[in-house]
Amino acid sequence: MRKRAMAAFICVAVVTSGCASAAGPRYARATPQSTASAADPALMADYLQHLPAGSKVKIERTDGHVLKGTLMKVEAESIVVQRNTRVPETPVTVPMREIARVTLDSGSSTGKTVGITVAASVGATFGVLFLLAALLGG
Amino acid sequence: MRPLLQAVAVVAALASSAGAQELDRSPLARADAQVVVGWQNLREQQPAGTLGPQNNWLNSIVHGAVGAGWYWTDHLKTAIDFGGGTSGRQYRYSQVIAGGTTTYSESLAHVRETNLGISQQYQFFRNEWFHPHVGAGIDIARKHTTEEYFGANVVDSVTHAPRALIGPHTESESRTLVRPFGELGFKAYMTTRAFFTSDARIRFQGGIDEVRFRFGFGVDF
Repeated sequence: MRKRAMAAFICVAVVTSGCASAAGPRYARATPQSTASAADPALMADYLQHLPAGSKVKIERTDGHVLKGTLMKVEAESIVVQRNTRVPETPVTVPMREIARVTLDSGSSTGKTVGITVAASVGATFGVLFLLAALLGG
Repeated sequence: MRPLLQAVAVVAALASSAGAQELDRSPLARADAQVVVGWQNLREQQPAGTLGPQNNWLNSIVHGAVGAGWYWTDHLKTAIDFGGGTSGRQYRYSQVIAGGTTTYSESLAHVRETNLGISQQYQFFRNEWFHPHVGAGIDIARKHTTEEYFGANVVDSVTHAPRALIGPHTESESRTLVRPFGELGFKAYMTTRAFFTSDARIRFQGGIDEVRFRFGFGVDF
């Protein structure tokens, strides 16, 4: 049993080393299935200049990575976006030629909603178990 | 000693594998602190010769702990926590043979542990609202066992009156145990720094020795 437990832990360690090597922003870890082609930079710039600053956008880059954030600035050659993160981070500049597609983000944070729901559910479950244990334990 | 060496090996494997490339980037949070309560399940082997129900688990234990952690990177955290549980009770019933007469002895064991845990954790994701983690470490437990014996009587063959073979008494024992554990848990942030946390911890010694579920609140610094 102990050897099995050791083996399981070492497997976790080996797996997590791969995660560490690819550490970075969450969107940067997505492995692209295929490389998207860049949109016409001039057309893309024209489109983005019609979006008001502060728009929530989802940017798909030509390398397959996805960036979700707030559009801060649009220039002829690049845009500046601040990622949606828990702790605010420095805005990033994305060259226009690396943008494959930009869509307006609906604003619903699915991950956050799921996280809060899971946390609340687990908390409620443990709370009930905790009360039962305390009551039945006399 | 062997479990301790195994635990150290596990912690070292996790630590060395997970963060060498990230040490040049300072983590979002340097440290955190948390207060948790939970449900502790301890395995307590019934003594040899015990009759009756062979339940080797003490389940009705409420556990509380305070803990703190230090982030080496956004993914690697060394955590330490200190806590204790209420007493778990185990009913014991055994046969006693004295002078050709058979009788039975009953006792109630109260088991309570105070724990100090040191672990190495790997936290998934960076700067998100929900962060799962896995971890491994060692648990240093001070285990107090108090056993109340209710006494055993026999009927005197001459006078036919009951006679105490073993009088009621209490025995106590304290031991320090060091055992490895693994854990799985998460932090769900309510604000940029405050979080709800929960984890499940499994301790090993000749198989699963303890299962602990905890939840609580904490803050990043």
